[in-house]
Amino acid sequence: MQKHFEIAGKKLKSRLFIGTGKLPTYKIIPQMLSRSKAEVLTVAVRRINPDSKVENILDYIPKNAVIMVNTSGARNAKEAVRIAEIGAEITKTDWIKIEIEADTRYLAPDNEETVKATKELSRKGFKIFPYITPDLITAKKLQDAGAVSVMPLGSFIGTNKGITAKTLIEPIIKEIKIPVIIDAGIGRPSHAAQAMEMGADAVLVNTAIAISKDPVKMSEAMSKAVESGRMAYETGILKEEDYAKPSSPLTDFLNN
Amino acid sequence: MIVLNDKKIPNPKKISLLLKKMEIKDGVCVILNGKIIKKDRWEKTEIKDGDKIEIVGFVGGG
Amino acid sequence: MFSDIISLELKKFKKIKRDLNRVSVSYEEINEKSLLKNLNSKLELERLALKSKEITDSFFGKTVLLYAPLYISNYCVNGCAYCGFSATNRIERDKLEDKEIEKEMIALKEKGFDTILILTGEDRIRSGVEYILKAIKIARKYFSEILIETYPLEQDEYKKLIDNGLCGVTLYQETYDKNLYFKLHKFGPKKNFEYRLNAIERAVKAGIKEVNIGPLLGLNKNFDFDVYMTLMHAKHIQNNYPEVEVSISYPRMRSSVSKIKTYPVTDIDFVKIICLSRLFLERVGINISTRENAYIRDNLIGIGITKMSAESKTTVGGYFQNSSDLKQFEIEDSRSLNEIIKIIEKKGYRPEFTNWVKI
Repeated sequence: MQKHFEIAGKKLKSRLFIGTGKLPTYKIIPQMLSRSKAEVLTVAVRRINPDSKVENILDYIPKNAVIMVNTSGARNAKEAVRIAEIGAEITKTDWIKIEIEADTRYLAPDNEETVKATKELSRKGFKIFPYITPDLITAKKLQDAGAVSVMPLGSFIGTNKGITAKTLIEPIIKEIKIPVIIDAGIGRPSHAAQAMEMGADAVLVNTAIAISKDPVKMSEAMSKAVESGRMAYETGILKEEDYAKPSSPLTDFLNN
Repeated sequence: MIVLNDKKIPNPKKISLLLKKMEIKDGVCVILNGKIIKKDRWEKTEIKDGDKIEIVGFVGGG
Repeated sequence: MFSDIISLELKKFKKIKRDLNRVSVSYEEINEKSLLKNLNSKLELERLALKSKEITDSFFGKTVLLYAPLYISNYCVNGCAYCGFSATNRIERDKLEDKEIEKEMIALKEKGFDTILILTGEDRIRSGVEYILKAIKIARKYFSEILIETYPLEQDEYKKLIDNGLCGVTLYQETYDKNLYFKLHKFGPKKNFEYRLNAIERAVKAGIKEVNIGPLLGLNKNFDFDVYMTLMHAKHIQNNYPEVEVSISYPRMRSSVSKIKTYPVTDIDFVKIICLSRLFLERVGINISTRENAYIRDNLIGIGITKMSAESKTTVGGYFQNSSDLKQFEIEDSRSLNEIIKIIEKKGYRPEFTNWVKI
């Protein structure tokens, strides 16, 4: 297996990105990173109030972790651009995950607004990781707009249903040249392994880790699944066959 | 008086003083009247009466 | 508007109820039929609670939002038979003036709250829209999120409040049974069932970000009806206005302030209702107030609820100045915010004090 993979100008060892939403406490973040060896974390952006009783997440993120700012809360491209610029200013990161939603029922990303925001932010020099409903045409537009990656959802956020959008993601992996990171819907390590077997370059997992009984352990389990899935992909996954193949083909007798 | 995150407070005069009072060293973005003020200008930038400031930071998110 | 389709929903309810024996109990994805079946059947509670927990954790994360209610006026012209503030009750009427409102809000802010719910009785003269607007303007100095629970307003009135910082509206229909509703609200503007029913949508059309609805359990002998209709109402808002955050509350009648016959909902049914609401509408918020005692509230953390009030006083003011007037309802959980925070953390959840990104 290759030692590193390159993305947006950085060399990473781990193909597991972890989201920090829904966590019961930020205190476990250092352990999650050390046990899973994940290097990339997403964070969201919000006002800090002077008398807040809330802990500051930055106190728990190691200095060498790669922070990806998520624009969640944005309902359109304009809001996403604003959140991205503000977030980027905080730790001088230029990795931005564009998440634009206006529907509280499914949290379905707005692909059109995402393309708009990607165009504007890429022009300004940000490294854009757009989160989308898997659509090959949108993915092509994002590639043309200068995104460094596309992040198609496996299933809607929080549903833990696995890679239900498999048939829509496969063409994206095949046709798109920039890295494809499957994000959302990964509910168990086997889903993460499947994503990697499909040929995804990385996965982003949030809910399944954050709400598990032991997020630290689950992050490690996810990491192992990502490694094994990638290893299998690089070795060559066997095709699924519709019928049993005998070890001696039926027509072998003709060769005797 | 100025407005901080939508709330009225007495004018702290300087961004650096405001952050000191909030016990914040870094890890935030300061927005003055809609414009992002970079960290190297926190000490110099003066706050006028009626100004609107937002202090923004990170929280957990996917 | 929901009032346009409520009679259709009623017909649907009756039809399903008639053929209930043909429906099976379900612990997975439930629809209107299995919802009603479940409400009327003995269920494996542990299994139900586990499913409710999984869904709540997945969609809301391991967090609970905490907020404080503040009554600023108990003047009321309605005669709701079940309420401590009813115009027919000879209680001391009080209304906080600006300075008093501010003192109460500062006291709440100092405790650590960042979300406030401002409540009034119904009195358009003594606690009119301008009075509510003033309270919101004061609240804006201290809180990131401001909600109101007052009488139904016009759309342009909601718009005015929203333009000045209002984030959410709470309004309980009490009961969705029209006949029962008329019996309970013999006089006053609250008599108008439809005006109240459509208020939430008027607020939504005016641009409100979140709404909180619910019945008052205990009024209706057939609680399944009110639970069912509440969920249909919530679904209607979610489907027609997907950008709005919808939450449901299920306050249970307790005190003997009411002069009417009540049908208390048991603890088991209460937990069932919360869990089934979660299964039916996966992304609806579920709110629990201090009407419920500490034991119930603590044990519901992690089973389906997403927000709780704390340190409640249902007298006018009461945080800065202690008032001993007649309460709107009896508080059963009088623990401090810090105590509630400790319990939430002990359960493996994180307390949150505000919801919205406001950049």
